[in-house]
Amino acid sequence: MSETTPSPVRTVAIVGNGLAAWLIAALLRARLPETVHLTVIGGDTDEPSDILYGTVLPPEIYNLHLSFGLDERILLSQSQTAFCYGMKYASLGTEQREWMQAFHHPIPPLSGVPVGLLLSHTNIRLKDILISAVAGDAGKFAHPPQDQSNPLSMAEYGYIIDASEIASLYQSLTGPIDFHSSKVSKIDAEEDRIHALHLENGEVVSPDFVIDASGPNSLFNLVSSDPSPMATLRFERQSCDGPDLPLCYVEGNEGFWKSVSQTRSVRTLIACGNDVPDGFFSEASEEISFARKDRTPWRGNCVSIGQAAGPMVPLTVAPMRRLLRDVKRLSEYFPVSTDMKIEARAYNSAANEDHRHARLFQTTLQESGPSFGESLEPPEALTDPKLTRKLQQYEERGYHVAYDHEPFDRLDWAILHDGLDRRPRRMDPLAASLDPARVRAEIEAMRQRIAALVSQMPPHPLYIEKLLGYLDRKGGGVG
Amino acid sequence: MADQRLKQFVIVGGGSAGWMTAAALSSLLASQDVKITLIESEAIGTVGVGEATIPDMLNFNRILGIPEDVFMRETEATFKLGIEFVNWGRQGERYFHPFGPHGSDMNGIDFHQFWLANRQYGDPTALEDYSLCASAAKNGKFRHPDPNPKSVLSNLAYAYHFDATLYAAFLRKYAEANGVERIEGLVETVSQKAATGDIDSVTLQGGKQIAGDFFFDCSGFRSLLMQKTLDVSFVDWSHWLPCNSAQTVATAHKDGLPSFTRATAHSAGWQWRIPTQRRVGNGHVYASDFMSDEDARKILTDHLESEMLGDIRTLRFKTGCLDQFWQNNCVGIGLSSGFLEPLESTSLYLIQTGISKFISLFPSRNFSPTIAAEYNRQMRQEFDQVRDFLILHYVATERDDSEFWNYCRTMDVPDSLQHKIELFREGGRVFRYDDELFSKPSWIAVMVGQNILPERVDPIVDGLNPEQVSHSLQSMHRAIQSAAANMPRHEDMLKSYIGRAA
Repeated sequence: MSETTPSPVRTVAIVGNGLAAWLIAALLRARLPETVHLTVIGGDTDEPSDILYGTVLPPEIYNLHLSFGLDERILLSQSQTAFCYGMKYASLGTEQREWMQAFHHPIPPLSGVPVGLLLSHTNIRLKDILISAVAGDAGKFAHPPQDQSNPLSMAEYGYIIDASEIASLYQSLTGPIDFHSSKVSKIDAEEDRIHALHLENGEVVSPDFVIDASGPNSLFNLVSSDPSPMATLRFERQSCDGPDLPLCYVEGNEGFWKSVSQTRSVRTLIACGNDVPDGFFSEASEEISFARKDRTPWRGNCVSIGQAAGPMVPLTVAPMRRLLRDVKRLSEYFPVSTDMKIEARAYNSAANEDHRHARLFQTTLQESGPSFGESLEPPEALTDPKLTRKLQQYEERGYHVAYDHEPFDRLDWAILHDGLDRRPRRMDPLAASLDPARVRAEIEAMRQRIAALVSQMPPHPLYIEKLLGYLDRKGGGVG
Repeated sequence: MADQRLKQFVIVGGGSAGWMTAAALSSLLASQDVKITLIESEAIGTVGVGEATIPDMLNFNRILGIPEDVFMRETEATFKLGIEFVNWGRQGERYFHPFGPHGSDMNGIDFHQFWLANRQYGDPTALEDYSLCASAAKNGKFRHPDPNPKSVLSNLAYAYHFDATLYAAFLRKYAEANGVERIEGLVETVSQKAATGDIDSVTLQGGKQIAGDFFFDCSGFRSLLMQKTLDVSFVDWSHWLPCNSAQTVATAHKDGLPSFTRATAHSAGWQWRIPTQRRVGNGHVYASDFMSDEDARKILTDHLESEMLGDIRTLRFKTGCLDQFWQNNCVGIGLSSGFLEPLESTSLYLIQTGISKFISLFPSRNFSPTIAAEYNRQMRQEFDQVRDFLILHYVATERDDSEFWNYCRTMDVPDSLQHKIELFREGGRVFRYDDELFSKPSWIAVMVGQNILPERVDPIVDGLNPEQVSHSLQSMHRAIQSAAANMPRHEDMLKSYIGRAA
């Protein structure tokens, strides 16, 4: 049946009812012609697994949102979303480290040398010359101005969200689709091609293409496999009154890590590891368990996106970044016909690289010391030659090795290395050739300019309050 | 602590590679801190003829702080907006690979998808007619891009054609003014440290010895340091790019001054036409396994557009690159490190990128193997990606009129290229690596130009209203054609820019 002449893809089933499912549904509905029929089968997934994406939407969400008509005004007025300058890490183990993994545009070089390489001339840390790090730490927020001479224009920002609320918002913005609230009871498949999905309510859906957004315990793990080690993550949503800091705070203790972040109405606590102390959560907390196993993302006519392609915990923004990339990539490689081998190969090759690169970052953080608990990444991530090359080159003389389409760029890595107190053994020869006094003076001036500017910025809660008031007066209909 | 900084750099060989290296290093390093020596011999000619470049060349000049008008005057340069390919996909066909984009993307969807959809609706307008560079070049026009991104003229991108020998001389003046010492002489022996194999010094005919901390092999095909001394092996790609010879000659100008390079495919290779200010560089690149030198010479002369200025020169080469670009305390730059035929004008770019990567990985005295390993990884990636793009021109053909084309059409190609071709053929999608030299419009221009067309259009444009698509494309087409028509003629613009007749 599946070997007949390829024809255009006319029917698509998206399985899932959380953030990933509604994000891809909203995007595809906006991009695909109406002749392609979209169905969301939302009875199966447990939305709680969305917690694995964390609570931070990184800056690149902005353009993705616009592509299906969601601008910031709608986002703020129709959800309790707050602004976010990044993740703040504090390790309370023996290392006692603290840094802000801030969203920030690349800093222009000084005298042709990357600024990161010049810091060894000074006592200044990278986080002190990143305005989004300084402002985030101080609990301040303001939109970056157009004027590029203003240091605030270098700041990037994302959002702190409550995933279930955002999934509902995406759903409300999705154009015409069919929605089934029933569960999948049986899958008819042959050699990796799914022919039909039988639902518990007796209906049968026979899609040309299936998008698996069913979360970490994917429904479509069709190939029986070795038992995979299980991991758990506990979390709790508490109501709160207004936003707090424009960041997600992650604290590493011996044997576990926990995070706290706050939208305008929900505080989310997450903890992962074996030694989470009693009393951190109330009885209202929930737990999610998942198999630590990766899957080939696109097999036959079914593609698994986000956590469904391989679980990852939200210690960094990596799981969310991966989802956004999966969604964007899928819209770019949406199958031209029912014979989708070429798209599958292109998609898998890029998706596997993304996953690998995201892991490099997360593993580097987790393996930096005992503070962030046992790594949930597979042991091979530690010996990945790409990671070895990155670390060797950095430790040697501060050089950042970058690979194609990495989800974390050179500055992200520079911030991470700086946060982890990782220092190059030797000063870069070009940095060494500059006059240290002049370099110190320039970087100190940069630090002071940023500190002065941040002192004038409004507190994050006040900024949101004023902004919402302004939008309301402009007719934005803030609820 | 001992000073770990390198103090003495020795460049073996002049030409474009040697003098570009000397110029870049001398612009970066203060002459009181380091000594840069370049050894070249008048007895060894340079390979350079009329040289065509790609837009990255502008960056190199910018880094050196060289004013464009001065550079153009000194090197007899002309402007270049792209390359016209003749007889590649099929005999009698031609297409243009422009710098800059085709049309404008709309709603986040690539322009070429709209063009493919419109073509399916029956509109025969060629893809290149939506390129400002191609349209201007075909009309013999040129102007600089408009910095205002809203202007259609901001879509212009350009490079240069120039005389490579004059270019080397120009950079020599620049480098010598920055303190580079030029020594005339032929390297006779190279001495290495017994313990490490690092190069210690080179000795010239006559006995003069020049010691250095770090060496650049710019000795051309001889690869005196990298292959002959350090024994670095060569990765041969001639099974994918079988051309191994070239015959070159300059001719007089005929009519007008083209603002593009032309590459005309023949029965076992192709012929370039590169217009500089005072003459036209011509060269026939061919595969000697498929064609005799005599036949190659006849084809070259039969296709010249005007009288020859001087004798025909013959060059031999092998396509491929070194297994290591950085070995011990030596880096190979230019032909000593690898050769890819100049079909897409990448020769100077590969020199430029070799230098800039070296600068960003600038070593200290202890020559960490991790730095060299990273340099080698990055340079190999550059060569691989350019190689794939060149192979595309040979494999994407329907020509069956010679043994050479039958071989190229049916050869196995690297998987990386095969996947790109299949992805485009399936739905017009283009996969591009992050830092890949050739952008999406380049891949699209060559694939479409050589008749690789998607079997189906992307679903995202499938449902669009044909009339709306057609209307948008027509107004884009009008805007581009009108902008091209209003640009000055290339020779007039050049004359007013450099202050003399070209």
